[in-house]
Amino acid sequence: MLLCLSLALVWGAMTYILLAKYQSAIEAQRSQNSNLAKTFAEQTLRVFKSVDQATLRVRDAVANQTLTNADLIRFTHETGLTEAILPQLSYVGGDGRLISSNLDPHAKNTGYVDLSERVHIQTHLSGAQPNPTLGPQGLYIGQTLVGKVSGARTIQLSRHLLMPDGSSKGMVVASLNPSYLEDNFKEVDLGSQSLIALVGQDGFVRASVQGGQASPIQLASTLWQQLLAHTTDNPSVISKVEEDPVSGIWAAQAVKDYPIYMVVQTSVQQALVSWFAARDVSVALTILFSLTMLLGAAGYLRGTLKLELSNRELENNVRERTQLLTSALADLKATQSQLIQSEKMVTLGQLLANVAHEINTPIGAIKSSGESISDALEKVLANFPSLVMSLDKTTRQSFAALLVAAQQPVFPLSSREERQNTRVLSLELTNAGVADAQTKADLLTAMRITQEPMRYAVILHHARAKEILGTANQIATIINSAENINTAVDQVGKIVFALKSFSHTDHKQEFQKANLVNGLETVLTIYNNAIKQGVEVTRFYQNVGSVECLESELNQVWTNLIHNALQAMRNSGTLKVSVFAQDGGVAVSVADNGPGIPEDIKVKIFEPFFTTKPIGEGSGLGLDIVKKILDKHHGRIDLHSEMGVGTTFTVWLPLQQPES
Amino acid sequence: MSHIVLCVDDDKTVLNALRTLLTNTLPEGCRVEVAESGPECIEVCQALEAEGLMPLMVISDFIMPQMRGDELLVRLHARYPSMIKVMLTGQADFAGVRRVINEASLYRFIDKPFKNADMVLTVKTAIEFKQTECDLRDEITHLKSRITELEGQT
Repeated sequence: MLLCLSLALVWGAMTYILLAKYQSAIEAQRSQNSNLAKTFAEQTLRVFKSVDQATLRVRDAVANQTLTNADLIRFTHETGLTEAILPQLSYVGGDGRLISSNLDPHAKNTGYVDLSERVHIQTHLSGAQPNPTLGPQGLYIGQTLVGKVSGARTIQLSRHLLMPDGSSKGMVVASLNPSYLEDNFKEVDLGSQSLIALVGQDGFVRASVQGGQASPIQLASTLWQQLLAHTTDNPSVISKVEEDPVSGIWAAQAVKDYPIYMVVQTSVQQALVSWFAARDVSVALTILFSLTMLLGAAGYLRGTLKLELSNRELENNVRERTQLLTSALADLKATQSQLIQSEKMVTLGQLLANVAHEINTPIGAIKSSGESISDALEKVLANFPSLVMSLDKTTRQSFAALLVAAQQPVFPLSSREERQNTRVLSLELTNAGVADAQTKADLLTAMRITQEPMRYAVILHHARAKEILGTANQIATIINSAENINTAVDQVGKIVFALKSFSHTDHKQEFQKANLVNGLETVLTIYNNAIKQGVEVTRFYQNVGSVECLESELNQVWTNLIHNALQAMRNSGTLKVSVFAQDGGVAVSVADNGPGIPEDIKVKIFEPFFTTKPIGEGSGLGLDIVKKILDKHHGRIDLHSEMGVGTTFTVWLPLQQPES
Repeated sequence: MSHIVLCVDDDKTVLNALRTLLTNTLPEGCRVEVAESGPECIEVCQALEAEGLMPLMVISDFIMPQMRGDELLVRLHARYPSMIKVMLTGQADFAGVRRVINEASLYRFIDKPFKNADMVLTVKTAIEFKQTECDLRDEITHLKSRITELEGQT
């Protein structure tokens, strides 16, 4: 675009310069032409003036009546003009007859020549005054014609010999050789299309040189009118005049005091010869320059285009690469989540056998209790109605009371306590004189009747005491077994809940308030079977309230720490789990009394894929994932370990997460 | 002779179920004692011993905190070699079982969850066995004294 501007500028400048040069060339030519016209006019003037002088002398002589034939010759000589220029000076009578000339003073040779038809003769004789075609004091410059006497081309300069008294004494005629003038004209080289001409006011050409050659021409009258219109004392330039045989640059100069003009005309072509050359050269140069510029610009553009293309390509590549990276990042993140989940599942898998057994145990109890209920119910249905029927009222009442007492919810006793109780009861019964005190005490304890056994003395002393107590026991069995089933079911429920809690993945990743103890207990439940095998668990839970967290991810943290602790202790030792407030947040510590962690391993322990376990056992990602989860929670983890004493991992979490 | 059957399991529900079952199904004269751990079991045995009683049979779980089942039975065998030892468990490792068989003369091994009928049969058979043993011993003793008597008469 800059290129177009500069090219336009260059061409514009060149055009302007060329136009200016054109103008100045024309102007120069015009100037030259007018100068030439002036010069020739000056020359012509001198000639005319000389000739005119001679005619005036003749007139004066005639006026004085002193004219002799010899005078004509003398006057001719004294003009200073050679006979090549002024061949003839003649005296013509009023009737138009040649009287005398310098060539033929007595008019003998030429005889009587009738010149009356000649225009100039007629002009003079017409006597029209004033006559605009006459020069000063009446000199008439006639048209170029062939002289009757000389037989050569001449310009007839004639003067009417008008006496002061008004009488006409004829004319004096000077014949001027136009060739002399034309020879002068030929000296100048104005090109083949040029014209140098002496033109009378009447528009007739007296002398002319065309293209360096003397040739008689005629100017179109319209042209001459136009030239006249433009011509004053100051010459002017006319170019491209209509209907002119030769268009070009005209200059015309009036010959002072005479009705005749010096006309110089050159063709425009002539004026512009050098201009054409200059034009061609400059156009060529400019074209060359433009081509160079264009090529340069083309090259530059191409370079720019290439650059742009490669830029665009780069951008595309970058965009592509970014897209790939973005999707790779997304994949990695997803993979990380998957990894955490799969670590969890691996843990779960490892514990599955343990957890299955955890569930199996209560289920075994349920099964047994269920069968016991069936059996007892069978027996009761068989015995109960007939037994009750056979009892007397008092016994029946006591029996009823016994049954009621058996159904009371009792705080569960440990077997040690039960044993104690039985012993006391047994003693009491023995002291009361009850037979088979121990057996009956057992039965009463089984019915959870621990106090005031003698309330039921009636039964205890009854002959069919065992039968009654037996039946009552059956009923008590049903009650106990049902309760046992409930307890066992609660146990299973707890484990199932722990499993659900443990394997739950929070896809939404929304932080929520949660009690950390719940999570810890869930993990301990899952690991209960492993713990049972020889680990003593001590808990220290301070009431620290809720923490804003991702519960399922923190469960992964507890799992990892507890798992590691149990493994370190080989499932035999003491595991201490604590929750307490610290530094404005909550600290959770998991401590074992295993062998401890050596110094050189302590630094590496959080590295991904670092593990001290043999191949296939543990991916080594555990603590790395723990670290990442804690980073997410803006928490931290500390390790304290002493060889031979134990290891404690302490996790610190802020109560609330910072506003994101 | 009162036959005392000891049940040892850390799970209260299992213990309850066992006790209920055995109390209702064992023949007259049998008593059921329960313990929730190995040490407690040993305590019970010692208390009984002090009363001049000896448990006939012990049914113990394998996986228990503090003291594992195999350890308990081995110890009991050391002190009461004639006690019938039954192991009741859902998960036991081979080494543990082999130990009890070899070092504690294990009588039976019962899987959890157990069928009531199986348990009852095992216990009754064991008691019968013991009874038979006792009876035989008594018989032998009686016969021996009779022989002596007879020999003395000749």
